[in-house]
Amino acid sequence: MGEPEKVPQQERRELNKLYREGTITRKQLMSRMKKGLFDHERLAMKEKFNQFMNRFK
Amino acid sequence: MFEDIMKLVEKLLISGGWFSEFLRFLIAGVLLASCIIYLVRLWKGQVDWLGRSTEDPLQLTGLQPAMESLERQVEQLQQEKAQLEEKLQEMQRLVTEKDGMIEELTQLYEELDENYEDETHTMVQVMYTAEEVASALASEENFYLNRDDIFTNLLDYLVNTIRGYREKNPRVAIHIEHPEKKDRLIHFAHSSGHSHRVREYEPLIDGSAAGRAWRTGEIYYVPDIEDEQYEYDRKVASKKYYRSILCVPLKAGNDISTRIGVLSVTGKTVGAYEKIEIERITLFASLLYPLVYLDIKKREVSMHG
Repeated sequence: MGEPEKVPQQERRELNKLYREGTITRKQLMSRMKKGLFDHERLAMKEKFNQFMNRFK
Repeated sequence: MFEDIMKLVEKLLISGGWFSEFLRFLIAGVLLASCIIYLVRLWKGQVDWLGRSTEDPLQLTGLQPAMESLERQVEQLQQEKAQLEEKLQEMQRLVTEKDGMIEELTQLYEELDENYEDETHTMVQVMYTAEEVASALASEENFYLNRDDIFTNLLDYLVNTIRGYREKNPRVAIHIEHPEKKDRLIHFAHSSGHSHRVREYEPLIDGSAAGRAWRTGEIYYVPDIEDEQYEYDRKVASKKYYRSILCVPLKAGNDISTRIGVLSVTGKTVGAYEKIEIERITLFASLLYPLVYLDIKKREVSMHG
């Protein structure tokens, strides 16, 4: 497994600034800061749950 | 015998007299009575116009068992129908109940997922904070060139983990021991969003929320600065800007002798911070400790030689 893909420092500062100014929402900040980091298990679980719920539709 | 009777009747009819008259009246009366009876029965519907009975006792008697059987079947079918309707209603109630449970389950999952997402977001902020603290420690020259920016950015990572940023408008400041005034703390660093006056404020060690956290070495949360039961410097209170404040001592573990400052976070709303946020802020206080410690030690060296 290689090094996780991180957001460069300068881009992070820019995102912090955009969030403070209200240009981006918290959801957008989360998504752009994370880029999937620490999130793959959550997303996999979400996919499982959605598949499970589709059985009831 | 019959022939004798007929001969007698014949004699009586031929001879004329009372018997002949009597016989005519008798026949006329019988005919009239028969007509009346016929008409009455016809009117009552007991016979048709040809005089035939409308009720056939023989036929009715033959159909009676079949009719009774059919009636029993109808009754049974009605009972089964009622049972099925009851079952249907029960099934409909169960379906409605299940739908409600699925809806509730979905809501619970969404809430759980939101919290999970929030936790992973916090992990990312922690990771970047740790990374930047490590970079600052590894490259002191760069750190001192960009000290204020670095601290602002680090404290912004902390702010990013706080929910409801727009409502709470959280602002973070770090105060450390005052080098000259024994009764006060002094500004060390702050997050973005503060005015320049944040540098001027020197919290009292005895009589402010930050001072309380410093003295006790324990987290001090004031959910409402207007509530007089809490220790807070009301001379500088500005409910226009914030109503709650959380102060976390910067220390290594639980050893109060290692304290070097206090990290304070204000919130615009009353009771702005939940337990999870207080825990996150405490985590960030630990994360920032090495860098604040290094900076303070450097200052002491430069002041005292």
